[in-house]
Amino acid sequence: MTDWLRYLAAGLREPVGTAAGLLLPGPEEIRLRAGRPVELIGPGRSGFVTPAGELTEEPGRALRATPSDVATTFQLVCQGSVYAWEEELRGGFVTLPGGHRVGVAGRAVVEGGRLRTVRPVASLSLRIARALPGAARGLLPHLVTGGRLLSTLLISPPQAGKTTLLRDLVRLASTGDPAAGLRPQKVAVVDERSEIGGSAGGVPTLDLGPRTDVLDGCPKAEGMLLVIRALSPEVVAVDELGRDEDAGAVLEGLLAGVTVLATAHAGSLDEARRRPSLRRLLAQGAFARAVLLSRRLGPGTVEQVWRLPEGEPLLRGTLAPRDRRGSRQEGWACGPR
Amino acid sequence: MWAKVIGALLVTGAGAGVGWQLAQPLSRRPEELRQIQAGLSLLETEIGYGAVPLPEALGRAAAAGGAARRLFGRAAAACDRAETPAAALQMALGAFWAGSALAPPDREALAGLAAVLGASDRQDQIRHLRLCRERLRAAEAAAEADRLRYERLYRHLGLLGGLAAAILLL
Repeated sequence: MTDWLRYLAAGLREPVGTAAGLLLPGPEEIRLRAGRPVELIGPGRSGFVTPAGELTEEPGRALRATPSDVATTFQLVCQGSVYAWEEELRGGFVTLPGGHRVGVAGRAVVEGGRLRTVRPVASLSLRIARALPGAARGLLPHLVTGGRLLSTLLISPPQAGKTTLLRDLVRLASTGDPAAGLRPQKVAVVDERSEIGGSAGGVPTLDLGPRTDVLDGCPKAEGMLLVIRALSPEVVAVDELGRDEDAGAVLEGLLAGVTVLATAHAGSLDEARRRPSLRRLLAQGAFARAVLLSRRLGPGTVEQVWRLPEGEPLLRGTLAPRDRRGSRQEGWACGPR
Repeated sequence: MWAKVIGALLVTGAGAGVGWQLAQPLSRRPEELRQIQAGLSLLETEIGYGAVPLPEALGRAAAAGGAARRLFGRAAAACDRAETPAAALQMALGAFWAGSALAPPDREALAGLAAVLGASDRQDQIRHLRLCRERLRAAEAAAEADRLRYERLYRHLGLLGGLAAAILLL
């Protein structure tokens, strides 16, 4: 899966493509910084890319991205139309078809105290989205009651696999999983950053199941109310709760009898409880389960599952991703805590 | 005798043809400038109001017809081959010059636009598009004045020159 390679400047494609082949099952992140070495980050290994397409720890031996490489890559990411991604750039990133996210840094142009654009762009971080069918299957027994998924909050620090897991939960809820006693349900995804479905032209490019509708690019709070009104979903999924209005929309959804699957950045349940927007949700008993992920045994390591609102832990070990190097991941094996 | 008459007619016709040929670009240039300005207006609408990405926006700007279709349509088609749409427009400009009546200052204005197209935010793009349109509008006014002044002159000169040469040869 190297569909992202065509977004790199022509001179970088070959070495980066070759080096990416050394990281199994594939790189998680490609970092381009003007005048500095090109870096590849994988699940278990990372390093700088050499001109011959190898990975090295020494920045001196590495291929350096020129300012023009970074500018061309940025143009390719924006289809040569920076203005078309203005709103996204104000949020700091652009999402590519396939759900890959490109974060941007450089010289900020500020107008009236608000970020207008970033120009020139000096750093790009390309985060590769991966669909791992079956990644959430091992978790299902803890999240299903009476054939339905329970409202669940997935929390973790960045890059621990929240979105990948959410995507698979959506797929499983939509398809149904007889083994876990989960019946198929109508799912609506409010995909504000186009990361869950990786939509292109409103159509998801990643598998979200046969009964899933995606509202792509819509702010979460507004989108949740819209899908509940318009699409009569049984499950609503959103990525990265964080603002106050999101919390209000989640509560509305729960009161409408809908299961809400959501993710949020937090290092632990206590940290989540201290975040103002999440505090309100957790205090009102919005979620029935909370799942904490980490990268300890690879991205997608499940550290704990809690029953809420009691906060009772349900897991006696860690659920580690079973095969970090394989092409497909099927559930978890128990690992040491 | 008949041969002389036919020869004289041919010489006069050739003179008139040369005059007509010289007058052609004078009338085509303002026409092409108007069509390209119309194309740029469409492009401005697509970028300013729709934030439509360039490959699609260029295709829609081609709807202005004539020279705009030749230029923007070709650029939209080249988007698949070129690295960026701005490069595609530059390629299209290269091919467009050959059959066009535009003068060097018009070309400079369009080449200047191609260099910055798509590279900045909406506000900035609109400014560049308007600037280019202003330059083309000024060029169109000058081209129109040239046309009024010289078009008939070249045609008459050609015809009369041919006639004079025919009389001399007779």
